[in-house]
Amino acid sequence: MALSPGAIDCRATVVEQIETQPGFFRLLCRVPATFADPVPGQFVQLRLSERNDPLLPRPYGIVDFRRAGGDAFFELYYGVVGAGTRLLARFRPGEEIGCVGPLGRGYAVDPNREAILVAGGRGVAPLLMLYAAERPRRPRLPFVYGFRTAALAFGVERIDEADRHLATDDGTLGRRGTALDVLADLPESLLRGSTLYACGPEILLEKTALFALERGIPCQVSLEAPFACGVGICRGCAVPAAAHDGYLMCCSDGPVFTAEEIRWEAMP
Amino acid sequence: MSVPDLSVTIAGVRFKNPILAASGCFGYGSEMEPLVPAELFGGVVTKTILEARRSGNAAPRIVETPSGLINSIGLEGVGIDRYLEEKVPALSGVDTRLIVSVGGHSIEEFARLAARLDSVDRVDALELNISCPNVDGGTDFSTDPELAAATVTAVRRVTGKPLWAKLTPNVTRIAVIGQACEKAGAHALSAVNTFTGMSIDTNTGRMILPRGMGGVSGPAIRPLALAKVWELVRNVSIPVIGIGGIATARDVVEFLITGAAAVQLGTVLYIDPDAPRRAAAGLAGHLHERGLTSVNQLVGTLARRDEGRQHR
Repeated sequence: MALSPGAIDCRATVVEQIETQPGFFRLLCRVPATFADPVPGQFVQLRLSERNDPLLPRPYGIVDFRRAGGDAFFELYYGVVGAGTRLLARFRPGEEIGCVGPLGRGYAVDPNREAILVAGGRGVAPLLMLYAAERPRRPRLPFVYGFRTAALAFGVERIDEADRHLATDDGTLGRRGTALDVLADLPESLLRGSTLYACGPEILLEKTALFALERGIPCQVSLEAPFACGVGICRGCAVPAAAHDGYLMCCSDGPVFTAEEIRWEAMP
Repeated sequence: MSVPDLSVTIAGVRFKNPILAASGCFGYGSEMEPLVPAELFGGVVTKTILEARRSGNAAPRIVETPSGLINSIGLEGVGIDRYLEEKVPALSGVDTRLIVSVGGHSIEEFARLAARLDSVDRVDALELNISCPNVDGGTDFSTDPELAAATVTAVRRVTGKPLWAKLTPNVTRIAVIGQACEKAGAHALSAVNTFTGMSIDTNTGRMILPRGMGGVSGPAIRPLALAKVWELVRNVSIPVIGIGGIATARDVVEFLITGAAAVQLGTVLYIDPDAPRRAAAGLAGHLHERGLTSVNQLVGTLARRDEGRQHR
């Protein structure tokens, strides 16, 4: 798989950087109008240092994208977890970040089936975009969302109350438990008629995929793997493929894969 | 003043500029279109080709280090049949030289691959990857002068294409290997491949890469690579193509002054799609500022500290 059609190299200008909770940020950037409309699940690669450390750009899933006044804007959501996100958190409005995007294969929504979104923690980011795009076309769009604690509930207000199926590790919002617990308790009839779209920690994705495979429910998951280029060239982000003894590239074949495409027992 | 001439000629092959894409960092040459057009480069060196398709190593395959990157990809590749069928035609009509990186688990495999590529007109030169660190026995061909020479000799017999030998820096005296390749008939030396490195997860006490060690690239190795290039240019009379953390026009100039006839950009291609264009423009600007009309006037002009400054 080659470079995503429409991907450009550009400068992203920070418009707004808000610390929604200690260590968690919502970032709004302006990009040129030539930036292609991203599919939910696609990402941008941001070059955070001009001084080679960290050397590699970092991928961030797009939460929202809109066009206004001849410009385009994307929104990201991230938690400070390492050198890259520490640097990203320092950018102030008006400052520019080297950016390549939109990249990767996003979710391929099946318009003929009901949809259930399954998010864990920061993995909510691309699913909020998917939700916003799909909700107007559907009478309901159940959004299963698990996170650590109520204070870290990002984007819940963007989900219609009737669609919210929340879980927290400590029970401070929604039920106590994980996204998978909530998913498993959804009515069997709803599950059978739906496609699952998942993003979050790998353990959640694997369990969701196996849950779906056991029941014959279509499922798409957005995986993460360490990569350098983000465009399929470095061959760094190998994900074991189910179809053969080889690998798929997380960045360019994915990051969204169907549950059937992955050899789950061989995941690192 | 006219635009400086960036072209260089290596083993009879003219390159429109001395900035090439390094093996493993630019796929088979056309995957980055249109973000990074192959035409930007004087030439592109392909990912290493082997006879069989190879799926490469298990993940994780890369780990970032200060200003560097350790990779253990494991020569993932499509194999020679698919390469000839799909990847060579993809570059037809593209204004850049094509250098095919040839690998092999044995001297015979190197020779069989070279024999097949010999008849492909689009291929301008072969770069023998006798130094891949990430497969069993991969690096041995270029840590032993006799094996390196034997590989070059065997390939020399089956092809008239210019041969570049890509050397590992993981030896005490790279000049010994370079001289052996030169004597065996190599037309140029590509120096250097990655430096052996490793990184561990101190929280778990485990190695990060499944094979433990990998190859370090990126700006972290640039001064190390430059020293190897300098050692080679003083000890061989064939052209040396500089590789190792080169990212900017300044880096290109540094290697050319030291004596490299051309350079390859590698890891930076993962990071900054605009790097090759800026490097070429910056090189032209540097020549212009110094009143030079050709890039060849820069190559090998390195002065000792006590020789008086050549620059302003």
